[in-house]
Amino acid sequence: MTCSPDASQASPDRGSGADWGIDMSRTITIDPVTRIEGHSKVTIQLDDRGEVVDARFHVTQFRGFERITQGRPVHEMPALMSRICGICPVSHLIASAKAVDDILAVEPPPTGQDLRRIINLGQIVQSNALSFFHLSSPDLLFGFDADPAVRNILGVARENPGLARDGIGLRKWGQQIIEWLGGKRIHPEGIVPGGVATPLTAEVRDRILAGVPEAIAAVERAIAWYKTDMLRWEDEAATFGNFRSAFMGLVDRHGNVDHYGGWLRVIDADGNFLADRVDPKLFNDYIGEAVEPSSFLKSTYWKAMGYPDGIYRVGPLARLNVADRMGTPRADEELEKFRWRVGRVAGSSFHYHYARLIDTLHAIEKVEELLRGPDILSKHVRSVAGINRNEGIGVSEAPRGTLMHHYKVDDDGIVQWANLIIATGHNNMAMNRSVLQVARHHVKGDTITEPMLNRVEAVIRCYDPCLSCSTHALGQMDLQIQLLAPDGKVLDELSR
Amino acid sequence: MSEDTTPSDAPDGAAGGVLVVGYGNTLRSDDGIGRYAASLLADDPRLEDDPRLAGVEVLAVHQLTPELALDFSRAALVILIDAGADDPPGEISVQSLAPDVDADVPRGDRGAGRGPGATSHQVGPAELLALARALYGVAPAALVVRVGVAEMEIGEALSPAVSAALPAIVDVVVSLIARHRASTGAGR
Repeated sequence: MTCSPDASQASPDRGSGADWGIDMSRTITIDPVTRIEGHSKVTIQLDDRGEVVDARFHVTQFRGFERITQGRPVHEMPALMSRICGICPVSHLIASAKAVDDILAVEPPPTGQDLRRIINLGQIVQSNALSFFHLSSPDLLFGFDADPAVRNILGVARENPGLARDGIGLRKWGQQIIEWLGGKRIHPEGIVPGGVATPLTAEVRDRILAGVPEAIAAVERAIAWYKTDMLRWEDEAATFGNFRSAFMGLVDRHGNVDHYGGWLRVIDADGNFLADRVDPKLFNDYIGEAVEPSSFLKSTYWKAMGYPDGIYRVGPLARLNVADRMGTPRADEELEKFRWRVGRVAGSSFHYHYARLIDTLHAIEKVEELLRGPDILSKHVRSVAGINRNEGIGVSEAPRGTLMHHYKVDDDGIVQWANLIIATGHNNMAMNRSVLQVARHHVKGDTITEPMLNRVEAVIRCYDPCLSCSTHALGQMDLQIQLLAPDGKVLDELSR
Repeated sequence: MSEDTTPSDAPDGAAGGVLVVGYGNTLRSDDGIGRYAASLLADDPRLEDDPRLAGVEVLAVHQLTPELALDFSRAALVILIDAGADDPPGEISVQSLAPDVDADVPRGDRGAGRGPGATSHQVGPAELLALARALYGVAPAALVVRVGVAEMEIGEALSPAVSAALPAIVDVVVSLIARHRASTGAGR
């Protein structure tokens, strides 16, 4: 494998996974990464001099969802796909329902689409809140080198209970939207092919609206807290996945962030359009998928730039980077401040945290806007049709980034083939690049240090990868880190 | 069935009702037993017919997440239904659970000696009790109904032994609620 001296820059001669690491002298393995969903490990490749030359984020559990769904009636797909994950079931439900809409060749009634948008935004709020308040705020509150015994959600609850309560409150508000509109808090079934199952009632609308002021106040308190402390993390931001890459997200016809539909927009690191107003159903023309033997997680790349140079990022940071505006007043005000602080195209993945909060604020405002729409209580929420196409694609923005479902069915509507491209796959190469940068900055010699470990884990958490989505696995494993010689001998080992 | 139903923590949220949370992954065969049992309980006519069982809230969830701390804080008694990987298939046991106040580190599935939050998006039951107490000042009494499992591979069907235990699991939970209500004089 050939490795560039500075892989934080595009390196056209980087090798493929097939020649991964065999001739290298030493390997540091972090197995698994904690506080992300599912099973994974990180391998950091050293050369003979002990210098970091490459890094990989491996997903070691097989998802198998594409296989499981073969032979199932396509109308079952939304409910089945929503069970990929207990954290973001709505995201899969939305993308799957849109793919089935495509197969039925129907467009849901406008109110049906708006109700889907509201549920999706509830999902964005609750999942973003989990990522920021539960997973990342311990690092931000106590510092990356703080004792893990303190640096956790219980520590936050003791040190800054208001922050923890705000996180739980936002989670709750988002969950309630899902429960009230979707029928269940987890794995809701209210989103169906052609629209939604039931119209909204005035009582439910008013219940959700009643929680809007406190939800906005909670996220604005978090934004204010984050900005106050932001200078503290300038050095970290410089080495936390701070590199040039493209960004991808959905925007509406005005160029605003759109979590449900619209067009794909891709920009380069300078903000130039690589693509704009692209029909998401044509994503296969633009995005390639690479499979590496070291991971079950596929890496996607921008075809025009080739693999692996076609690296791009998705998720909250990408949404803010690609859009002209958020499209709601409070979030637009914060977006302006965000860009003043970190630039028009934020390059450091550390800023996912900040972007996630503004994304959340926008989602709350958008829910209110949609609920106050004149037709939101309309009874026309579902279009009904039979199988009219043998292929369908659905694309939406999940909390972690652009989500794509692609199905093929026979004339009876039985699923023959399915492919999912999930945010963690889009971000896979960026996560590798980020881990590499952090490791280069913090690995000294051939021992695993706590500061290095803490930051490698933390930089991955910026992307909030959901390995349930990428592999469908739930489980617990001890944290193990191994330093391996070329012959596999363990040179150093660390476990928590 | 083995039983240890003396809550080790005082029900300092005693003003609330009873919350039953069944959790697990129904795509991992028997791992979903908690959710199946919770769903069965939610449809049990005794919850409507028996005044001792009035006001019971039942949740069937994929995994435990932090916001449940708020639900916990509003209950006097929480009953969790979970799969027991190390128990004989179909065996039902009941244990009391205390808040994780002494352990500074979230432990996910409560494995002894584990490090910080083994997986991120979920929290352990004792950790939720501790969160409820830290954030809202109250933690309920808590019981864990654990069901031994036979099969945890990908699949939607329960093994015969675990499937056969479903009615008994519901009966155990109902009896725990009734006993709690009798001891507190609530629900009449």
